[in-house]
Amino acid sequence: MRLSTGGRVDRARPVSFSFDGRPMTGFAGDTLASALLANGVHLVGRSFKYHRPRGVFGAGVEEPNALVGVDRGEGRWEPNQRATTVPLYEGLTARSQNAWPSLRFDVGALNDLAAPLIPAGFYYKTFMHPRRAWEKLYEPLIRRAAGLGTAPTEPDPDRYAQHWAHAELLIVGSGPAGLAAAMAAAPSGRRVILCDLDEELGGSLLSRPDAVIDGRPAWEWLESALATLCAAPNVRLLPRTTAFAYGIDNLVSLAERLTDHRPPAAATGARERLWQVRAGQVVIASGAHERPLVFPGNDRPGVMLASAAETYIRRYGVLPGKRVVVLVAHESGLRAAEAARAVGAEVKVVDLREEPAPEATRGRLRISGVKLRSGWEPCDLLLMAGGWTPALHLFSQSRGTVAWSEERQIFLPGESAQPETSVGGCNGTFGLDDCLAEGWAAGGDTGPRPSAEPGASGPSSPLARPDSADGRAFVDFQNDVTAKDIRLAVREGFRSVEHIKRYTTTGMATDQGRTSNINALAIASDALDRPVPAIGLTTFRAPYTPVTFGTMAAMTRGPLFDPVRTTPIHDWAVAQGAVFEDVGQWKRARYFPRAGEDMHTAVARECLAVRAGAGLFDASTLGKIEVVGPDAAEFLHRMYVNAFLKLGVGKCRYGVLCREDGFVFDDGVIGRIAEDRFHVTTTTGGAAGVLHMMEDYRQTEFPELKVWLTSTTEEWATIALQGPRARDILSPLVEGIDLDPESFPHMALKLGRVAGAPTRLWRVSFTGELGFEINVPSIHGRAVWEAVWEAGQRFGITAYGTETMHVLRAEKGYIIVGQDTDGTVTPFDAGLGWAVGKTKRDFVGKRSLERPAMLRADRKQLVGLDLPDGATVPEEGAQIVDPAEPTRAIGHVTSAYASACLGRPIAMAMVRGGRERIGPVAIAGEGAPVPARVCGTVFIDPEGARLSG
Amino acid sequence: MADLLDQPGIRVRRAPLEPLHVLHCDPDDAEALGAELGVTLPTAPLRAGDGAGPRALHLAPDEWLLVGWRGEAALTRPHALVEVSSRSLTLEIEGEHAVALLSAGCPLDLELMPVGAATRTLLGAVQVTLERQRHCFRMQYWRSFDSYVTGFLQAAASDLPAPVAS
Repeated sequence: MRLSTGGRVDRARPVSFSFDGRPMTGFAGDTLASALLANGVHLVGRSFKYHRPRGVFGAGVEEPNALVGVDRGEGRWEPNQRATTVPLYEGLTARSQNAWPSLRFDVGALNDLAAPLIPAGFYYKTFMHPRRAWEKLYEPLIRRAAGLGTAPTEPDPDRYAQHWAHAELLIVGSGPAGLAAAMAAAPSGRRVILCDLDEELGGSLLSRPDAVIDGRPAWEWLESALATLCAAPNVRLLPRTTAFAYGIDNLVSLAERLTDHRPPAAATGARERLWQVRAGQVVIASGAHERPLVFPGNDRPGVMLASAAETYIRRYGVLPGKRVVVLVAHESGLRAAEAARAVGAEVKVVDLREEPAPEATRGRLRISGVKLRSGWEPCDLLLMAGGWTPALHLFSQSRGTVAWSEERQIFLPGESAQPETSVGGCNGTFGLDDCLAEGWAAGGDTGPRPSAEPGASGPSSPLARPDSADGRAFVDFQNDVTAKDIRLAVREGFRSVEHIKRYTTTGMATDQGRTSNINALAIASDALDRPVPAIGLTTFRAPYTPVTFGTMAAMTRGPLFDPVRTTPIHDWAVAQGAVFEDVGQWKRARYFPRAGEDMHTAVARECLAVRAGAGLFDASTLGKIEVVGPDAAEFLHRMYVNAFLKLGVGKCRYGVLCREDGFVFDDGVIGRIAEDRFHVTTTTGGAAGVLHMMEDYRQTEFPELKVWLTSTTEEWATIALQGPRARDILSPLVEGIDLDPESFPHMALKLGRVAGAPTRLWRVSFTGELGFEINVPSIHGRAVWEAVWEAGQRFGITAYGTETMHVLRAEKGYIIVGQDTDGTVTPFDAGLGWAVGKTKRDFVGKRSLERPAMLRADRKQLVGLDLPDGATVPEEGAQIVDPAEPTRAIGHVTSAYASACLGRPIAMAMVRGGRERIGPVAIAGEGAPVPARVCGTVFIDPEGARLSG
Repeated sequence: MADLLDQPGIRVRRAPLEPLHVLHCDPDDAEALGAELGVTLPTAPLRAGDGAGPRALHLAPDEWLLVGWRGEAALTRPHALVEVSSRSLTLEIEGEHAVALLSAGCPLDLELMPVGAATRTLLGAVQVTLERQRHCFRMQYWRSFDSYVTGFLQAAASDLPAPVAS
């Protein structure tokens, strides 16, 4: 019921909204919960397991019961929102959850009747046999039955922003302690960020208009304090902002809600912002949560935390019940009684420090009576004041250790692990003046501090320890865990709170046990007859409250999910209609289909064209490292398995790089540009890894060498011109370079110009044909590519992509590291023993390669597979078997392609003792094994005549 | 060149290409090598030289990035000089909200980054070299990341947090 006066809501601004289709009206400044209560709605949801009717229980993030779905339009349905934290806006559409066919009549409530059959852990006991039924039957059923709201199915249309911030002081919580800290710090000029998850700053002061600070009513003081802070150029105020994770080095993550308090049509810009704040000092002023009491029937709509009722009355001007019983186990409950009485409610205070807790309650969809020692007492609102639990979540996330106070029966912040201070309620300080003093001290303690009437700091009452095994006394309202369930878990042998939590599910779900954990602990402690600290406290994990996936991803989605890297020739390939593939972050042209061609046809055409005339390939993504210095040759000599000391200037050499374990890590061609300068190429995917590995060895193993590394991957565009007509195409374009094979043989390089651009021209081949790789500075890449393309037209030049490149190299038996090798292949296994410098004293991996296991004759070795005409292309990865013993795998296919040049499929494989096994094998797959013959890896031009053309 | 971004408090434009070289050497040789190159090599870490003509950014104990230096040099001490003029693109970001814009993706405390400082850092998922000059930030990154970097800045610019005490 809405009171005629009072509260902070704006009575001049009525707001229409609907709940389960029923139109209602509230005021600006309401939450959905306060507006529902103002409209007399107490039944808001159904519980998770037993589908019991539930109502508004709290007034903030601690709310376990009043979970609703909020519909903001297409893609903006959000389930499991706490009605207590949903700000009211014009047109808000909310729906109840977990009830069918309706909230008032829910078939699922049959579970409640069956409650004796489904105690804690019943899933584990019931759904065991037959095992096969788990996947097909039990799990789908349980999954459908479990959960509350339904997940949205459309993509999220909203934007989410992100921001890194730095502050000397981050204050979490804007209640009296947090505000005082900010006010003390503001004059210092230090950067201060003050955040609070509420719609308004002020924390508990928003529910305390009766309090007096510095001789002024609390709300008046609050207004002027906020105005002062707002005007300070060094203070950032962030309402609607939840500090949800406390990481290392005082990095605190905040989620700021930017638009959810506005009607969808008026919500422009990003919906939320992720703040990552690196703070010099963190002041945690996150307050405390009131403890519910555990007694039978404590979950009916109309049973509420006392502090919540006080908030509804004083902050929202809503009286949630006219006939009120207040169960006071802590004196703070008297404030709620006073607030209710002041607005005309009939109030009965039951002091649980003097009499036992109620035995039962009644009322199906709303409480109508409570059974006290004196008998049944009619009521429509039952308030619980069980004392206060400091919100230690962030402190615990900061890896601070919590300490149990036996005297006060609460956990308090113990030793800090980071530069952080807890003040106010989360530090167990409850008196208003004490909170102001503590906050002021944490903020710098300069000048006279704000002060309030000294209030009771609240000697905490002992924990509620209900011993009644009868009745349904709820501990965890959201997960429907009763005191009995916890006692059952203890009887069944669970001792640690971590096990009890997982067995009973107490403290799980979206509220993470905010109201239930401490009561569950007390009951377990009682049942086990061990002190609370001996049972332990479950770990507080981030996030403090649920955070949207949108905020977690922030800008990392869509085109910004991961960088897409493109080469200087990319746009040309796009214009030619290339089909691309992802290679790491790079987009690489895979093939260039002509009208009507599929990949197979296009690749066959490209392959034949390269071998018959000439092909052009963009190899710019290859990694490149410039290794320079007087000791450059010595450095490469130590890194690669090959010998590099005697490589002449102007020569290239294929190099194999192993890891310390002797397995192939990367390969590439290395050219000597000058006595002290090498141009090293790596695989596309290996570029960063090779540079890091080389840097590691350079700095830690070989610091005596005068050599340095510079990544030049993106300095050079690399254009591969391959095929018998390559020289004819190139010759009119070069300046200062003699292409004559005598002076420019295979594996040589020359400096000069191509199409006007400076070049490092290499005569190398990954196709087995006469070939050149034209390296030009990236800014000239596109122009040079087009010049070569133009010059090649009369020779039938064909652009080809990575797929054709793969086929052409396989026809020649050239390996691709990462495809034909898998991190367990030595150079000898890969048939690259010829590359290993036999007389080298050392190189990375040499010792490992000499271990007996690495030299065994039955290691898997790279071989070719000869397949009969008409055979289908085997699957890469297919197992290879001995036809005489077809159940034992002796190897696997690493590469397989249709070879247009040979007119049949070819494959490469790793086979045990493969090089000695030349002869028949079979490739296993679906159906009968396919016969094949182990052969050499070179399928075309084994003498290499075409290379030296 | 057209501005990539032009809105109140923020202007982002491409800087003209300039010759770039990476110089590596023993820090003890830096002064002598700088003299031979005709470029002052700052000895303080993460500082950029200033003044007209070529300047150097000290990015690692043994590494300087030479900006605007061109020519040949006969250097007498061990070193590695590698031209990287084509490797990167450079943006200039200026305006009162430049720090807020970059802070969408850069975890460093840019408010406290002094004029004349230079460092490698991140913008979102991409490594950048960031230099603070009197009137702007200069941000350099490898050219293949261009669409990511420009897309990132454009997305970030539409959702900047409000300035404090405005």
